Amino acid sequence: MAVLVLAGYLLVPTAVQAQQVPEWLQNLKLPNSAAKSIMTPSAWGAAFGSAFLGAGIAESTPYLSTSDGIVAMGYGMGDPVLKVGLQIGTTVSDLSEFNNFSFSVKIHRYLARGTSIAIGGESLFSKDASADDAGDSFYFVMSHVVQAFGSSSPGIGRVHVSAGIGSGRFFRKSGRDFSEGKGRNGTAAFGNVAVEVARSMNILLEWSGTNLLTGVSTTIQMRNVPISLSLALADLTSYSGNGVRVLAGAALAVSF
Amino acid sequence: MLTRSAIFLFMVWSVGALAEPLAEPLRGQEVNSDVKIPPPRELAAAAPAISGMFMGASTLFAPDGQRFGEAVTQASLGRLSEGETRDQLGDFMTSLLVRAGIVTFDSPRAALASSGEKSHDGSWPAWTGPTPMALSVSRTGRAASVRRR
Repeated sequence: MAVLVLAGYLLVPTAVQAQQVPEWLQNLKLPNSAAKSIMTPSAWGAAFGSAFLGAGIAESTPYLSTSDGIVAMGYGMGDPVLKVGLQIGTTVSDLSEFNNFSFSVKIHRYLARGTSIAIGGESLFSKDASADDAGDSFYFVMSHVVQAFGSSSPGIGRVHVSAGIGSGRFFRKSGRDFSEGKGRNGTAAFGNVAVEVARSMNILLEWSGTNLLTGVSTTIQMRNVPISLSLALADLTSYSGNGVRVLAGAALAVSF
Repeated sequence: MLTRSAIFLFMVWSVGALAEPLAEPLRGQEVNSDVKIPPPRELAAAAPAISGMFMGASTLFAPDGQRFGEAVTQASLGRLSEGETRDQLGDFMTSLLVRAGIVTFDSPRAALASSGEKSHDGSWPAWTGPTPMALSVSRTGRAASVRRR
């Protein structure tokens, strides 16, 4: 019954009159352009005609003071609204050595009413699985923009939420966490909330499966090239790691 | 733009100010270990920063008032081509309009099917280009061959 109710709720209205914008579309709240999460996936992804390049850095590694970062790039295929979207990316996860590559893939589909679902994998085909966090990580995630409140206009209090479940880095803690008595496994479930506080700017709070993070993200336009800037605090609880870390990231996208 | 930049800079400062006292005592806890410590998980590889930015910036996720309404109206009236619609509304919103039946685009094949220039033996009209012309010759030849048999 609940499934039927949900399906009815998500059903796209089809009886619309041409030559006018239907009310449901005028009121539809879709994601803004800033990042929706920090380390966890969302169900929004790249589609055909787009590519992206990004970099992230952490001021320290858990249990060490050394900093490191990653570079990621990828592109999109397909159409998440009419069919499915496919996002393929590659990641250089050890900038100090520049020798560890992995791949990520995400298949995503827009349902309706600001809701999207995705399944994906990260850290795939890594040369050294132990150097790329928890190795292969697979997940399912659903993302939604709350329709009940906030404005459909940019910059006024839209609330983005995502929830998912995954393996790998969403579930397994590091060997050091285990040796420090923090257990071997996390929750596998993850989620994030992004509240739009200004145009293209979100305040973020998320649970990664192994710890809590918070941050802020914004997107600026530079000669029609969108650049996303994010700043975050990771490992806010003692559930894993040995203390708070500062993360920063930047990414740009191009359409072709 | 200025306000947004100011807010972001304030956020950066605030996070930095908050992180410093939290992080400082923890640096003293560093312990040498043989356990291989994974590098910090990325901010971008999980694609939230990237895809979140990408999806918003490259598509008109957020209808922008009058401009959005005008573009949709023009598209629904057939006054915009598919390319023009995608330029103005973005791929995501254009596909959403197509799915909802608000906007339709004639595919080349659909245009041909409704074309009065379609010849009587089922071949495509010559103006469609070299490939249909070749097909036309082939089909005509095959039909003639069948008739001869």
